[in-house]
Amino acid sequence: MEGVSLFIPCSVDLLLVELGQATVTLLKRAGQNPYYRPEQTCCGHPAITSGHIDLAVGLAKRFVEIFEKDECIVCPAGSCVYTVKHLYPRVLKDEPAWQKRAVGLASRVYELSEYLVDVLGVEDLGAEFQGKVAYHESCSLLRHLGIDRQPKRLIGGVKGAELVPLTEADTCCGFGGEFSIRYPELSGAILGDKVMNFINSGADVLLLSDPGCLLNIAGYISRNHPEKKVMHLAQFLAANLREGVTV
Amino acid sequence: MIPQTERYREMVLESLKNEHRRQMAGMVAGVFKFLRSYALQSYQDPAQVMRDVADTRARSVENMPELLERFEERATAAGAKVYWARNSQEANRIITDIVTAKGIKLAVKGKSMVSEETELNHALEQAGVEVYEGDLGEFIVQQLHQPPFHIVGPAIHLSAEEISDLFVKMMGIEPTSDPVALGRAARVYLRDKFATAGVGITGVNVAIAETGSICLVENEGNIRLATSQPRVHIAIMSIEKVVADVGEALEVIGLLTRSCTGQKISSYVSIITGPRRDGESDGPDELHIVILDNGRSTFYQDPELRQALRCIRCGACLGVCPIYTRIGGPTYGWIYSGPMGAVLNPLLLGVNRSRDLFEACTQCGFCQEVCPGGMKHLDLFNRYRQMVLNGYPALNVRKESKEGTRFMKLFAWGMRSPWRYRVGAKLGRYYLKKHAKDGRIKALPVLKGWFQYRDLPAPPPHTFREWWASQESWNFKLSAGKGGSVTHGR
Repeated sequence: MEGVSLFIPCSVDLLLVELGQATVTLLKRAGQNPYYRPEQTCCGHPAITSGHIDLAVGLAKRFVEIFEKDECIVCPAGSCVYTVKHLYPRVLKDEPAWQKRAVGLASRVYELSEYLVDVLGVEDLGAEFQGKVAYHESCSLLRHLGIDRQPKRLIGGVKGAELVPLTEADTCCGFGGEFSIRYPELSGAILGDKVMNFINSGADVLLLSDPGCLLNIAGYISRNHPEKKVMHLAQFLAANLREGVTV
Repeated sequence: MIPQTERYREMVLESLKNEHRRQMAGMVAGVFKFLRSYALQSYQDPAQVMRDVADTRARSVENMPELLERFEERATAAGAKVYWARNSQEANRIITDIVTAKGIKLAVKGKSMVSEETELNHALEQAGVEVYEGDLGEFIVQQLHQPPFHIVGPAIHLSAEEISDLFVKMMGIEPTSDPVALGRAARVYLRDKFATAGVGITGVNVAIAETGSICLVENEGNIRLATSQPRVHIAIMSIEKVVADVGEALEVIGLLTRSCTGQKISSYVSIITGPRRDGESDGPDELHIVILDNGRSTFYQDPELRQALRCIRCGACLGVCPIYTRIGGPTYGWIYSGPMGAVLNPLLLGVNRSRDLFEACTQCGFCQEVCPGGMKHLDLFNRYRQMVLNGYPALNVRKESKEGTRFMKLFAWGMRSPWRYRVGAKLGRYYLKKHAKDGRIKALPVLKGWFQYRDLPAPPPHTFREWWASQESWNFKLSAGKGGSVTHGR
């Protein structure tokens, strides 16, 4: 099907609706025609990473069936893109026919910033923000998908925004899915350091590109530093678009 | 070191409370991480070297059975005596037998992880042999009866004052906080041990099948001395140390020293082929090489698990791990720590008893990015998790339940149907809304770990799909979000 198929992770559907809306806004701003398949649910990432690989098989097949016909699938969550592109072939390794279908699909799944910058060649979406921003390199993008330059290009396209250095920007925020619940003290120690580095950076807002990091860091900030702001890059861009600009 | 990986959780809490240890762990790791990234720049194309060495390690592991046989043949031809040990007890017995049969009472050692794996020092002491570690850091922690803090810097967590106190007691020196003076005191003390020891015992960094040689890297010269001064040299190695030829060995060593201490090459690199030959001035009369299996050949049978043998013990994964840098080495409950320990300890000690080591991982993947062996730690951890949940008789892994499995089953079932998903979402969102105040949830009867440090946002009035359906029904007449000047087509 023509246009861009929206892959909206369950966390975004249920809790971070604004992020889903921002994704739509940005794709439209970039001249795309996004559509949404309401049959989609969850990609199965939590099941796979907790060792319940057998439980993820059905979810992986479902995902492949739903999205297989789409030419281009875009998602604002690095970890979910990683799941589909890199974990599905492992999950389906005992069923070669399905594995082949999953591998075939993988090359058409894009993380949002990757799609905007690499596929569409868009860096300036017409946003403006007078202030300092820091960027946290979500592990799912930086290491699992190799996406680091694209989000920074999009930040670079924001008029007035100054990207300031963030100490240990490339280290984990301590989320890790069930890790954050099962090993709270470890997770909290890592998270506390991440937030301290953000505060020391002097940035007005911390940007990142994964809903997992967002829930984790925003949850800590809401409790300990309510005056600080953390946002998904897509939300930041969508919230600061200038009126009447076409890309 | 007696394994206590099952105490991981309580040791984590102790470590996190120990502010000094936490700072040391972070600082030490930070230094090694920096040194490594700096040293890698000395390659013209670091990424290519990483790929090449990973290929070499993969190939070495795949061909390991043949390489080991060739190594035995060539090493024997060069005059060494080669022994095969199925487990730690056998290895220790072989070594203590060699030592006691010669009436040797004093042994000096080069720092070796595999001898810690077999608890060789303990076995030698039981057999009436006095053992001195020759590496300064290892010597200090040995004398303090402490586990090594870091694989490369065993005593790096200790202050000069603590070391001075030890040396005052041991050697009768004047108290000093001058590291150089302390180093000199240890040197004088150990020099005497080297001069009189009947045997030098070392590990092996790389074994070369083509020539039957063993390679050792170090910075202090203690290994060079231990392999040349005493009349007998015993080297102990685990089976995965073997590579095909000298070229591969040098390739691995080059990345090992860079990944480990940030050096292009260590101060000493010894390549030893057989004992001293006629006409040679240096070297021992006898060279014994003990090759240890200790369960490795069992998990080698599994094509996925065998990648654990690609590890070259450089410790690069420690310096980048968000967990290791908060808790330090001893918390892992055995000699191998950090991601390296989370990979090896379960396979060598038992998956069930080491379960927390691989469960306590954020899956950030930094370890596998820096791994010279090209190991995929996260695939292994997911595999271990799966092994625990389903049981794995080939490695005696007991099936164990997990908190959350029932929830995960329900979750996966719900997610397989859009209808069930919608019902589940309604119930879940109703539940969350009930506990929300001022746009956030501070606590719930479930997910206690999460709420120990964090809030959750209150669920928005509608889901994304509900919002989308309403947009569609208005046929996109309303713009999406702020700014809204939606343009179609480019």
